[in-house]
Amino acid sequence: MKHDKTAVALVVAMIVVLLATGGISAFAQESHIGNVTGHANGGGQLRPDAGKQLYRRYCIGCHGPQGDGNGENATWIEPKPRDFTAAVFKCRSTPTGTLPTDDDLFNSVTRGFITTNMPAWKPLTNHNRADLVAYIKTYSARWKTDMPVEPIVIPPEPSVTIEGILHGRELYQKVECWKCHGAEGH
Amino acid sequence: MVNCFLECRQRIGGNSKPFLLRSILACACVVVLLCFCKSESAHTLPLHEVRAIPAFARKYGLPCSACHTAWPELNNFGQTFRDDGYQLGNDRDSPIYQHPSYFPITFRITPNWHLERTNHQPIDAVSGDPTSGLIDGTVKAHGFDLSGIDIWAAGTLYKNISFSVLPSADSSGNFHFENAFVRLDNLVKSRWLNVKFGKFELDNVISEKRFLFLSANGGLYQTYHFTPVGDSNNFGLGDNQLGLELSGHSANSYTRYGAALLSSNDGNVGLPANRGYDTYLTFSQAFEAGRLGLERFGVYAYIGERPTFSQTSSAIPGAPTGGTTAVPGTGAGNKPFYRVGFAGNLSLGKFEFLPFFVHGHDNAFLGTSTPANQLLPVGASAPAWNGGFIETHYFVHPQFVVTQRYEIIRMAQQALVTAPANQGDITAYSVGYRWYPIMFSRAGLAWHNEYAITKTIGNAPLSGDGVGLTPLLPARAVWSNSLFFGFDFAF
Ligand code: HEC
Ligand code: HEC
Repeated sequence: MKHDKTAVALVVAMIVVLLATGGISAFAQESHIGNVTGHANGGGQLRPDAGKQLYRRYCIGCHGPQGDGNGENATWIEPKPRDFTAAVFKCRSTPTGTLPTDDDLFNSVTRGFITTNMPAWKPLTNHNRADLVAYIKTYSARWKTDMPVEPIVIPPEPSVTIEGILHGRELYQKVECWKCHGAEGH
Repeated sequence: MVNCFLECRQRIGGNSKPFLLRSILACACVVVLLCFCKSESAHTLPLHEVRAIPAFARKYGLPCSACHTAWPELNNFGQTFRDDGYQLGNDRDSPIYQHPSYFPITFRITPNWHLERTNHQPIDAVSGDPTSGLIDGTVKAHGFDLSGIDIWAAGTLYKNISFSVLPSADSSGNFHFENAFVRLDNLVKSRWLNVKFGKFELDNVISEKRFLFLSANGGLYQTYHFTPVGDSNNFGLGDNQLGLELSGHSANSYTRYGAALLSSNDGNVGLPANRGYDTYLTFSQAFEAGRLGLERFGVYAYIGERPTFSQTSSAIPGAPTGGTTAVPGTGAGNKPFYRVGFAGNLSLGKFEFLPFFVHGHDNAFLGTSTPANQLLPVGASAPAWNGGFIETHYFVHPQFVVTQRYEIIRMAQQALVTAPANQGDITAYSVGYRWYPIMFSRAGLAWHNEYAITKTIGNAPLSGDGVGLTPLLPARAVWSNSLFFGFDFAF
């Protein structure tokens, strides 16, 4: 029947087009976070307003209208939502006491925190997540006053030597890993 | 719990001044409208099946707006959550992590005021006198009313075992099961393999179960329920079906597919029709368009069959004389039909466009309601039609959305040579807005206002408005209007 053939051809054509666009989009998905330069603070090419709307839509219930982690749900949640006004973050590639990079925040928002109420926001577009990062940075003046820091460079894993293992045993005592892992390591 | 409730109440109360003021204004509008209309006849609002689940918001501590562009329509975060089997994947999913008193249930109902007006209806020549013959007239009704109610439980039975049960009642309280299924998620640890078993919605880019229209004429997609005049096929793309669905998706649900095997019963329980099975296939792909947002395109196809006659109990000794009672489940003489098309969900900043297209085709026996063991009427052919709509949403902010939709259905081929070429054609337009005065993770409230108008050639409007009969002339255009105001709430 003519009808059936046209319909099947239509569906097949659509699927081919979709697969093709899907393939292209995989390459076209540049991470907008590259433009969210360290202390941009919502200025420049960023759209603090876009980030604000998104924050209101997705994040406000936990992180609160003031960004201080006092959203309507904070009372019922453990661990507590992060207080953005303190600008102290858990997941950093930067040295202790410094601010994380935009990429760090972007990755935290994307991945979420397993075993907490912080969801993975991967279903939001890269652009949306970048706008959100820009926006949560407006909650603390530290993003303006602190100098941007380079991520710690992680050196390649050292080769296994007797000296290396002995040095490890020394450190294990010195930094008190045994307090949790036990003297025998179990 | 009580504390939490009180606290929410206080918060809502705390900044409710503008809300109160606006509500009073809105009510005043309704009253003014009332004064302009005069009552003529009774009317019941059809049950509109639309969904949103504050039970999930409560479970995860997310505001409605996290999963819904404007509830009940899902955004991609909500879509991914649904595709993951109502799981966020953050180890808060299984009910064993919930407070023991948590119960995943949601109620939704919409007290409303609405007006329905339909012209070219066959009514008594002398009002109230059934012997006076029929003339062509207008039927108008309005008043305060209720929608049906949804009492929905959904969530997880355990990690990667999800469920949904939705007893739904019409406004007079008659219940049916709108959906009920178990879904085995992430089989062999792959999000590409999920199996749903039970009664469920056909997966598509645009869901009629979660759309933003409630009025009698606007509260349904014409294309999701259309069948040509005189056709015996009961299938509706918008009807939940009984069967088994295999589906899968990428991590962020940008790529999605579904394949379902369904009983040829249009979701009706008790095996009423026959032992036939239908197939439904769907695929969609989304990609990011920078600032514009997410753009999704999808295709779908439903290939089904319906019986054209049944065994009857008339031949059985002792059956009522002259009985031609169909024996349930013995349908025979199956004849095929299909619906194919594409749909999209396109973002343009604060605008969202939903284009949809369907091509429908029914076998000539279905189209003419002829049993397959009899002869087709002379010159009968398989009816075919094309339909589509374009729907627009403008999200002023997460608590206010303006909507509109333009929809058409055009017959490409009539089943009977005697039928006017355009009989059954539909043109429909709806416009409205939804305002959400509160947006928390405990409950949802929306003030809904909508106007819809449909033109149906030679047939009763799909809304069922008016007297529900075909007009006196087959080429006559029946215009039907709905005006709707209501508080839509879910908790
Ligand atoms: C349901 C509650 C909830 C919502 C909604 C939520 N978060 Fe969180 N968020 C948390 C919790 C809880 C933590 C702390 C997790 C921890 O300490 O391990 C957190 C932590 C964070 C962190 C800290 C990362 C770090 O390295 O310390 C960032 C950034 C963040 N959230 C961003 C967001 C953004 C952006 C949104 C909206 C898109 C959002 N959150 C929505 C609960 C939530
Ligand atoms: C405060 C308690 C604590 C201290 C101190 C501590 N750990 Fe741990 N460590 C843990 C816990 C708890 C885990 C398990 C985390 C999990 O499974 O999520 C862990 C996990 C690990 C693992 C991962 C094991 C695996 O299964 O992959 C390594 C390696 C490790 N610790 C090494 C160290 C070393 C080296 C030190 C000292 C520098 C140290 N830990 C200090 C509590 C501690």
